Amino acid sequence: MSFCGFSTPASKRYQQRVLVTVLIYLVVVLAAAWTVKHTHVHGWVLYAIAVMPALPVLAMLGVMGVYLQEEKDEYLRLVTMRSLLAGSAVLLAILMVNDFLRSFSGSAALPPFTSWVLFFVTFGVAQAVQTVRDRVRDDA
Amino acid sequence: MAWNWKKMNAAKKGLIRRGAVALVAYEVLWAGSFLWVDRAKVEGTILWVPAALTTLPVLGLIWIMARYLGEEVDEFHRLLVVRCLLWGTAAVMTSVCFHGLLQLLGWKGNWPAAVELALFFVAALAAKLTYRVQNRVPADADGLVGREGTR
Repeated sequence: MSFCGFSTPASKRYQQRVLVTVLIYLVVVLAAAWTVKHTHVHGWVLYAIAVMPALPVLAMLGVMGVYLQEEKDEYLRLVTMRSLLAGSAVLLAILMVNDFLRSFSGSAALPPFTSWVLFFVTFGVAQAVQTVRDRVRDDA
Repeated sequence: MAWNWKKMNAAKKGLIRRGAVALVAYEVLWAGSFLWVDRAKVEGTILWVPAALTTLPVLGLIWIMARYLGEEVDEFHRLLVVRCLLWGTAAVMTSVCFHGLLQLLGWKGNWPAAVELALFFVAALAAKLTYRVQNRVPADADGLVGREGTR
């Protein structure tokens, strides 16, 4: 049994690809931080370096799109779609409330990566909740 | 394929109707909240009330999309909607990631408000248009199928 109890060939490939993109993300973030700290870059180079870690994040969502296309099990596809919707809803709600408060009270923006983390946490929680809710007993 | 209301299935009609209601609700709530905050000089924790109110239609839109995905019987259309949603989310995540890294790397500025929301809808719409063009069926496709079928 694999992560969240999904063990179809498509979900295995999905997990492998996600693992690779997460590793690439970590390497790129650390490399970007190290470069900025030691070379004191500024201007357009700083912007270019800041774009780099966003690429594995994009790739992660691309991997999800590929998974949705490859997955033959309609139930697993539905679980992933629902989790994606839950993650997007939380992400947009947090950003909307924060934007409103920033516009009218001048409050500070969210700390870096808060919304990013919230999206993936919500995605994971939604997936886990659905898996537990729809679990079938061994003797069923 | 042209946009034809009569040929649309019930799920898509429902999505468009409910989506239009949510968008109008968003406009009304946004304008109402703006006027309320501006006129009554709302401050402190009460500001969370108009902020939450304007968020409700956006959450409603996501719920409408979830309902559409449950009602839609055409698997291809369902996949297209999910892909558009992924593109929208990808645009928001890229913006958030880029912004966060700039701040971590020492940038003192801030994105203008509502940039992410606008990015979400622009990316989702652009994806929808791209898929529509990419998967366009020629007007005479039905005729071709018919001819080949009789061959």
